[in-house]
Amino acid sequence: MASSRTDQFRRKAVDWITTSQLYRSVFRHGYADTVRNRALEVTSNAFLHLHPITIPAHALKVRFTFCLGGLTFFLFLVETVTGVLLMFYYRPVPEYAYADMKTLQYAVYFGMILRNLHRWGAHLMVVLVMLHMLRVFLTGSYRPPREFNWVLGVNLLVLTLLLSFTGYLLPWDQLAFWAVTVGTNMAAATPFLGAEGPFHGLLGVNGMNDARFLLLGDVRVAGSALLRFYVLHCVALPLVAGVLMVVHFWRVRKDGGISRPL
Amino acid sequence: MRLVFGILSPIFLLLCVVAIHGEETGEWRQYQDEFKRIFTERAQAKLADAQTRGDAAETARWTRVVGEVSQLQPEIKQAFISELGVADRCASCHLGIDDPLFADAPQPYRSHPGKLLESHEPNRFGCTMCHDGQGSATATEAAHGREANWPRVMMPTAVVQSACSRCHEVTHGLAGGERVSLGTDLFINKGCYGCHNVRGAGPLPKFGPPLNNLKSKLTDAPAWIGSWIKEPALVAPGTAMPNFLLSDEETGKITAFLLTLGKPTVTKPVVVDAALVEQGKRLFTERGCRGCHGVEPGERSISARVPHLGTVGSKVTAEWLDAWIADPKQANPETAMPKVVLEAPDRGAIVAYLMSLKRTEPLPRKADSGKFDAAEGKELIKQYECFGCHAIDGFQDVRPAVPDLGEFARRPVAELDFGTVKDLPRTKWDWMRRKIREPRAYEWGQIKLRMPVFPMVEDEGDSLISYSMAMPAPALPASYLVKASAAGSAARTVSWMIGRLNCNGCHRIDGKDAYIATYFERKSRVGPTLDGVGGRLQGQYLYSFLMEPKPVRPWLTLRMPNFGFTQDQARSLVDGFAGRAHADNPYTYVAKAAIDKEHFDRGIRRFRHYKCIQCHPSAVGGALPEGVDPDDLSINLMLAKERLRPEWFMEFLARPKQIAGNQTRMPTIFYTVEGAPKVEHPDEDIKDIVSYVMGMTEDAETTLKGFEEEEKAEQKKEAVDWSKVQY
Amino acid sequence: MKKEAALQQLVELSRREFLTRGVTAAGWGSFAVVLGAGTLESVRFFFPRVLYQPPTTFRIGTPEGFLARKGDADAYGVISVDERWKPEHRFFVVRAKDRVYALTARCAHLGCTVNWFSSLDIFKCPCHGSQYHSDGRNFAGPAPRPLDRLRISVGVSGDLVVDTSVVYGVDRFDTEGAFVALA
Repeated sequence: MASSRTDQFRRKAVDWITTSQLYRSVFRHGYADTVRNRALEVTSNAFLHLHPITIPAHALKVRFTFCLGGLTFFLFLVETVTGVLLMFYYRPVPEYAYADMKTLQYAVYFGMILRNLHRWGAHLMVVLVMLHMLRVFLTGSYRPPREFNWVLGVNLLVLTLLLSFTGYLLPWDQLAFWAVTVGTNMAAATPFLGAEGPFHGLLGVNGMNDARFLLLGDVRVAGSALLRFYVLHCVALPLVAGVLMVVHFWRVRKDGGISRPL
Repeated sequence: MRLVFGILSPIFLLLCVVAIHGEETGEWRQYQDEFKRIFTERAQAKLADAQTRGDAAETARWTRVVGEVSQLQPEIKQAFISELGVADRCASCHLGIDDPLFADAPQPYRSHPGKLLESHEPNRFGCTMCHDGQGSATATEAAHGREANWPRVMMPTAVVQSACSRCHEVTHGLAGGERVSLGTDLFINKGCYGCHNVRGAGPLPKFGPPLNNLKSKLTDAPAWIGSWIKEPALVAPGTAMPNFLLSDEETGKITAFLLTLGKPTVTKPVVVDAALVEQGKRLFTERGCRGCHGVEPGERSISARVPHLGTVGSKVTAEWLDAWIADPKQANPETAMPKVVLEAPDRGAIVAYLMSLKRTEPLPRKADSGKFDAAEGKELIKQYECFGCHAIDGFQDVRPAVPDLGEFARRPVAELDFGTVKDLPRTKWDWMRRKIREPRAYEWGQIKLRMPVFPMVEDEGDSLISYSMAMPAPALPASYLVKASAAGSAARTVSWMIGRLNCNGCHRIDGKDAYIATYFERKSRVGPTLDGVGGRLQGQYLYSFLMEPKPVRPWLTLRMPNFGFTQDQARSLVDGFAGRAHADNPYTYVAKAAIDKEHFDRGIRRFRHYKCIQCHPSAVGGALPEGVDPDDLSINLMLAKERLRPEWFMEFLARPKQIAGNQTRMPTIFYTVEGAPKVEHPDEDIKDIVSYVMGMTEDAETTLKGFEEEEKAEQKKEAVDWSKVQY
Repeated sequence: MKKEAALQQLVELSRREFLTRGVTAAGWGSFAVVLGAGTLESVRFFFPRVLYQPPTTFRIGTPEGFLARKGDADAYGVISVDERWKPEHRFFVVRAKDRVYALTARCAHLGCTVNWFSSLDIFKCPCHGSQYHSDGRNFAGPAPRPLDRLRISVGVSGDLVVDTSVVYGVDRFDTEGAFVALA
């Protein structure tokens, strides 16, 4: 008897909530557990709409994909969240950059953990992207009709590496400074576009207008390079990567769903 | 799946707990807890102590402190100095740094030693400004800079004084900067400047003697040169000449080259009269030679630069020695050896004595220069750059090419070459300690090093390191920089010159007795103390005395020699001594017009009354009274008006023993040593006497004749019993 | 009755089901705690533990040093006004008959730095002419209230310490911290 009274009360409460204007303005589908509502739940939800409405049974087989792509995306989210938090204490100016990094490490509550999460997450993300690529290659999932998605993936790989590279400069310590000095010197060796590369004379490329100069905004690693790398790392590259990821995920579905054993 | 979730999720929880726990119990937090405990303990002890003594004010104070301590919350303490861009968190662990309560507490709580924080408020200077290290860190290793890629490791106490020079252009005279100042002096006195550049000093003379005429200087030149450059310390223990670790072949070649220099000079042969040896021996001490030169075995010269003369008879020729003593500057214009006032017969006696001092054991090497090529010797001199310290024909105006120490100071440790040495901590000072001890330690592969081995004690090495790492920091705001004051740089110059000219041989300096004092029975026989000399003498007088010494003290056998100062050198000495004595303008003196008649006249009577003339005869002409032991005579007071500063004079009359030391024969007349007045109006008497002496225009003997009558009348009134006056 | 029923239900559970539910509860429970703790810690992350501001505490010498200053008190009980810290740190130290206190040099009107005129025995503001007596009480010009006082205390080392970050208004001039009593 008692339980039926509770049930009755619960039903009433649920009715009251689900018929309220607030609820209906947010959720555009009914509350009742029907097939239609379940489908609507997915299609009308911003966060779920990338996900297929129906999931084939094989997609639940973890051991075919090891969820490597998904994990990479998860790490991207982790990097975004921790990165945004780190931005609250970091100023991309030579005078402050190193000191701010040390402040994060030593004087900000949870700063050390956040920094380490961000750093190790980044390393792990590169590893996972590679593994993901390997898996796609080994399962032959790059073949038609998925060849365009493979290309997108390769682009995403490059973006991940670029994110790592640009982030490398931000601690502004000796390691960062010299690593980026070396890294950008490579750009100077680009054929045609690098001041020290072959054929640069043909285009009139010199130290003040080559690829390296473009990257650094200077002839050596200095304040402008730090700012450039910061903007690339925090805004430009994540934005591009985000857009490519959306397309990448979309194409996974459109090209026949998640890959499966043949 | 559910199982995996069920296991992973608690693991994450665990990690989360570990993370939060780690954050809450960081190293600095633990130090703060411990600090609070110690603080409470000590404050309560103070409180209990105050209560038992019944001191209400102290009780209230410590009750308050105990209350405040119990309220302490863990927090990161940061000294932020925006001008310097410094944010030091050192005080997060070094919590008692400015609290005298923690003077003897264990580290990291101990308070800062010395009084440095009083003039260097942590609020304005922070910690890393002087100590280096990584102020932003709050973990021990990282904070002390022992972290990969952090260039500024915290300096150990032994070398931390190098930081003084970041702001202070001159460190001489700074309390707490003794070591870096010593390093600056050592840099010059050890001859480092021969090859390395020195900051702050003008052009300095060559450190060693010229090598251009060894053939006529030495009796057995080939053997002596060969032995000497092979291992100088074997020939003359304690010498300043470093060991270049030459091979026998290199030694031979260099000897061969040096023997080609100069031509045998035709000098009148000097006859050595063996009968004069004893007289020469006595004169050698009496005329002050022994103030600088060691002569007996086991005795040392005043500094490593001054040759020990124990075997000089086997080394040089009598002709050379005679000419050298007669005028050292003639043979080597840059020598520190002064021209001592000596009549020719006395000089002959000293030469005879010195030539009698022969080497007992033979030189370690035989002469074998013949078979080596002099041209190759010249190449070796080019390579080892002997011309840094010695004048050598063919190498005039050549500077040695060696690392710039200013650059060394700026270089990060990562740029130092440790060669194949593996067991050394990677710090600049450890690098340099090894470098000074074993200059060739970092040789490897193609890299051949040339620095010789200098005899050095550990502390000297650290002082030199402090100096070498010292450099003005150009990035500091101007408000932090302390420019050298005229007095400061003069004090530094004096310090250098005292080291170079060995003034301590005959004068007491910095509380160190004259080196020669051991050879005199009477302490009054050595030269006057140089401590406070700048406050004692008028600058103008000191200047002219340095340029051309005239005897002042009749009882001395020592005579101030002529050092041949340039005007600039004499001026720096005068300024520097004045600076050391904290005397303002070294050129003040009382004009005669300023002395009023009344004091002057009274002064004559006081002068007579206290019988000053008994010891201070002032009859012009300089003839000493006959039948009086020169030891019982003192300075001619006719000289006082141009010599002495009146303010010093008055002080001296009041407290002679405190000012001139116990060896002075000046009696205490006006006050006892303890400071109780001994006569009725001591201060007035002193003033009168000073007025008289500083205003004297004729000698006191003449003046006093006019007062004989008065004297007799006065003697009846008050008779001073001189037998009871304390000397 | 209800309890018993629940207990009964539990007893009737199969071992498998019990474990399954247990694992689920542990999993979601931990998940929730981690999420909650993470959120909480992230919030704490936003409260900085160090501030980048110039130092606010200054040692100004011992109480005995101030006690040693002899002189007659004026009508406001002030014996001397010490200007040493005004140029850099913007406060005066006032030695009154029985106490020492620190006066801010910030005018109570619009915040200009006031000057001390010892011959007139007043503080004057250069901007709009506010005037204060030697104890900081306003008597002329637009100043609405006396000069504020700063926290002063005897530090552990025995020195007086002025903290410019703690300000006392006129109503708190006699509270502890606004002055140090001289014995």
